[in-house]
Amino acid sequence: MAKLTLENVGLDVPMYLHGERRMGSWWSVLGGAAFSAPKRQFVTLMDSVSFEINDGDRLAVIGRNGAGKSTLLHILTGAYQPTRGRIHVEGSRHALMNLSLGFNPDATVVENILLRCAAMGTPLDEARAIIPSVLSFSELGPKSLHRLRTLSSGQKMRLGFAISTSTHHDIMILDEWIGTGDAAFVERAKERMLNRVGGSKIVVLATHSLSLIRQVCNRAILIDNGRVKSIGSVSKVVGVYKDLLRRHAYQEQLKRQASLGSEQAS
Amino acid sequence: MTNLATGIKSGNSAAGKPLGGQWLWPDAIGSLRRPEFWTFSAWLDIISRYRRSRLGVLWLFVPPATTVLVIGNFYAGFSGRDPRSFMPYMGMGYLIWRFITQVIGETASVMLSHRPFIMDGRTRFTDYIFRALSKAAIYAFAAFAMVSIAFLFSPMASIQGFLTLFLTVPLLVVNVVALGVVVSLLGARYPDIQELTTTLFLFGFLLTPILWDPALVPKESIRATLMYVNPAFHLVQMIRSPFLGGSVESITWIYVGVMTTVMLVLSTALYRRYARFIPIWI
Repeated sequence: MAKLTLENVGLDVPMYLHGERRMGSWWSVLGGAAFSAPKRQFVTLMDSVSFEINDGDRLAVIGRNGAGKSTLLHILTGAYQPTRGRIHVEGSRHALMNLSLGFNPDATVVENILLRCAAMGTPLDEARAIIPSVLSFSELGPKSLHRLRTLSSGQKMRLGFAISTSTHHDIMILDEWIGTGDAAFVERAKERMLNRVGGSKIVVLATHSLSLIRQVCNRAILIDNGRVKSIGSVSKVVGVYKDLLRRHAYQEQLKRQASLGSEQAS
Repeated sequence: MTNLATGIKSGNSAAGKPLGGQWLWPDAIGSLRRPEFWTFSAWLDIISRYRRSRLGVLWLFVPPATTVLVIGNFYAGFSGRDPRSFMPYMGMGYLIWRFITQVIGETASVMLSHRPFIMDGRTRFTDYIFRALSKAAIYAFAAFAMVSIAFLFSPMASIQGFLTLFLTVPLLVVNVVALGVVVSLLGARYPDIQELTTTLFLFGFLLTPILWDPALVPKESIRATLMYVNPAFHLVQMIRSPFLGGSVESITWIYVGVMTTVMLVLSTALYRRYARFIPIWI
C-alpha cells in the first residue's frame, strides 16, 4: 500500500539577493561585482499545496519554467522539509532527478554501477546481480571496463538511467528523465518506464512533454507561482495549462505591440 | 518492508518523516551499519585519482616517505637531533596533523559537494561526513606504514608503544568526527568557513609540535599559552608520546576529556537543531 498526502504544505527559503548597482563604467561593474554584499531574504517558494495520491496513481507535475515543479519534487523526496503544513508518506521513495548522480569519471563503467548501487543503499550481492542487465540495457557491454570519462554524454545518460531503474520502489519521483539519447534509446526508455510504472505503485513525473504525460499519467497537477493552479484528470489540467500559456503569450504580444506603438508615436 | 534506497524500514518514513537529518546518533549508527557507500566511494576517489599515473597507488606512499625520510633526516641534522628517533617523531606528528586538517578541510564543503545526493532525498548527512573521514583515514594508513618502518629502526620501538594506539586513536577519531559534524553544518551555512579553516591551519601548523619539541618551549611564555590552547597540540601529544615511549602531561588528558564531552554534546545539539536546513542552505 503506497500513499502520498500533502496538507497545506508551504516552504520558505532564504535567498541571497544582490542589490541593483549602477553600471556606469566597466570599472564600476567589476568593483560592484566584487564588493556588493548579497542580502539574505526569505522567499516563499511554495504555498498551500494540498493533494493526495494513492496506489496506482501516476501524477504529472506540469508548469512553466520556474513555477515550482522541482521545488515540489524536492519536498516529495524529503530533501526540503515543509515550513508549514504536513506531508505523509507510505512506502519507499526513490528519486530519479539527476541521472549522473555520484559517478566517478576515472572509475570503470562496472565500478560506477557498483558505486551508484552503493549510493542507493543496494547490498553488494544484489548490486553484482544487476550488472549484466544494466550493461545490456545501456548497450555498454563492450565498454564495461572502460573509464567513464571516455563515454559520450548520451552513453552516460543511458548508464545512469539503466542503473536507477533497475530496482523496484513503491514511489518513484522523476524529473525530466528523457533528455539526451538517440531516438531508439528514448523509445526503449519509455517502454521500460511504462513497465517500471507498472512495477512502482505511485509515480510522480515532472516534464514539459505533453505527449509523454498523455501516454503515462492518469492524473496531473499544474503548478504556477508556487501554488496549485489546477489538479485532476490529465485532459482537464493540460487544458488549463494550454490556456495559461496562451494567455501568457497573448500578454507578451500586447506588451510588444504597446512598446511598438509607443516607438511609432515618438 | 525495507526501503532499498535507504535501508531504513519504511515504517520510519510512514509518518512522512525524512530519511535522516533529525538526530545525529541514529544517523551515525545507520551510516555505520551501511558502510558500502562511504567506504567504496572514498576508496574509488583515491585509487581512480592515480589511475592515469605510471606508479599508480604507490603515489599514496611517496609524500609520507619523503616527509619522514628526507625532511626528517634533514631537519634532524639541522636541529642537532638523532635522525633515527626524530623520523618517527616527526612522521607521527605529520600524519595526525594531516588527518585532522584533511577531515576538517573536506567537511567544510562536504554538503555542497554532495548536493545532488541530498536533493534526491538522501538526507542521512553522516554518510558524507564518514566519506570525508575514510578518505583521510586511507591517507593516514599509508603514512602510518612509512612511520612504522621508521619506528622499527628507532631506539624507541616497542610493542607497548604500538598497543597504546588502540586506545588513543579511537579517541582522536571520535573528536575528529564530532568536529567534522560541526564544521560541515557551519560550512553548509557559511561558505566562509572553508577559507577560515585554511587560514587557521597555517597558524595551527606553527603551534603544533610536528617539527619542534614542546619541552623546549619556555613555560609561562606566550608561545606556551598558545600551544596549550591549540587542540591539535593535545591530540598529537596524546597519541605520539605514549607511542614513542614517553608520558602524557595530565593537562592534555584533562583537555582531551573536556573537549570530547563538549564536542559530542555540541555536535549532537547542532545537528538536531540545524541539519534539517542543510538542503535549503546549499
